[in-house]
Amino acid sequence: MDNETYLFLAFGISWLVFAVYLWSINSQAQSLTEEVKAIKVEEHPEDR
Amino acid sequence: MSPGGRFGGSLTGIGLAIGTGVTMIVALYMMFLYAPQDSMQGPVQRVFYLHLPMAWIAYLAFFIVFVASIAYLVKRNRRWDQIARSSAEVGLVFTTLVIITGSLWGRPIWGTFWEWDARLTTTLILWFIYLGYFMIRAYISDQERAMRYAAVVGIIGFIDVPIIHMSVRWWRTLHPEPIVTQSGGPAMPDSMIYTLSVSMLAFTLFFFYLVYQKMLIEQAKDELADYSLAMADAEADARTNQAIQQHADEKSTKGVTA
Repeated sequence: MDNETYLFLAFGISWLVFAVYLWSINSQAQSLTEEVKAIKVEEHPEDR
Repeated sequence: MSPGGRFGGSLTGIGLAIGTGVTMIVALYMMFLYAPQDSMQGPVQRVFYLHLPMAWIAYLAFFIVFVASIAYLVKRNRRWDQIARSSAEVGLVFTTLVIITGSLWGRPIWGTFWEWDARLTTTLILWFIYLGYFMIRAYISDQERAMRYAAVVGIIGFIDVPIIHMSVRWWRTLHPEPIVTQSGGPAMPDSMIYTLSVSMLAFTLFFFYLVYQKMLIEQAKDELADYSLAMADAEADARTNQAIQQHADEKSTKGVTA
């Protein structure tokens, strides 16, 4: 592999890791929001 | 009574996201189009604009873990633990990338991906320390005890950070000596210094954005856990009261029959 390939590999892997991490944070937040919503509906069924 | 979920839409979150996006675009432009190519190392030298800010973030993250862990042990306030674990997780991601980008730079420059050199080895030790930090949290079921032990690891683990920083001065290593913080000023052209500064700013904002989002998640997780515990307690109390009432009813029925 030439010098330039390592540069693009470094940038590619870094951004891929960040994208996966951001996606994982987003899905954690989403599932927690749903859990909170479900609890609120359970406590106040009239708000459904 | 129910826990709250406050993700995404806060002003701090939006501000950090916009700030990160704008500075990151400028940083990428400068890394590839503004900064000159290094005549010795060629294009792969540009990894430096990614690797160095990530290393700075790894230090910063574990410094925050260190301070928040001390504060947790002194005050026993769960908020400090939330800060410590959020910063540790983001720090672990950045440390992983520091090792990966360093190895990818090392292959064409040193001729090897890895060398058991002082800087690389102490960085790998830091990575393992913080992996241990999360293993403690995962394997100790008593939450209070897990927070206490993790705080101790967070404090002791930070000792490795100054060792990593000084390793290139204390030992003979393959890793280059500091070129930005050396005495007599940075040994590179202004355009490279500007690019590095913008990249540092972009990654610092990105780090705070990630820690902020992670903290909201950790806060909500704790609130949900407290809520589940309170519900379980209330259910147990209700069952006990029901059993007492039933027992009293049975007793009074027997008394009437007798």
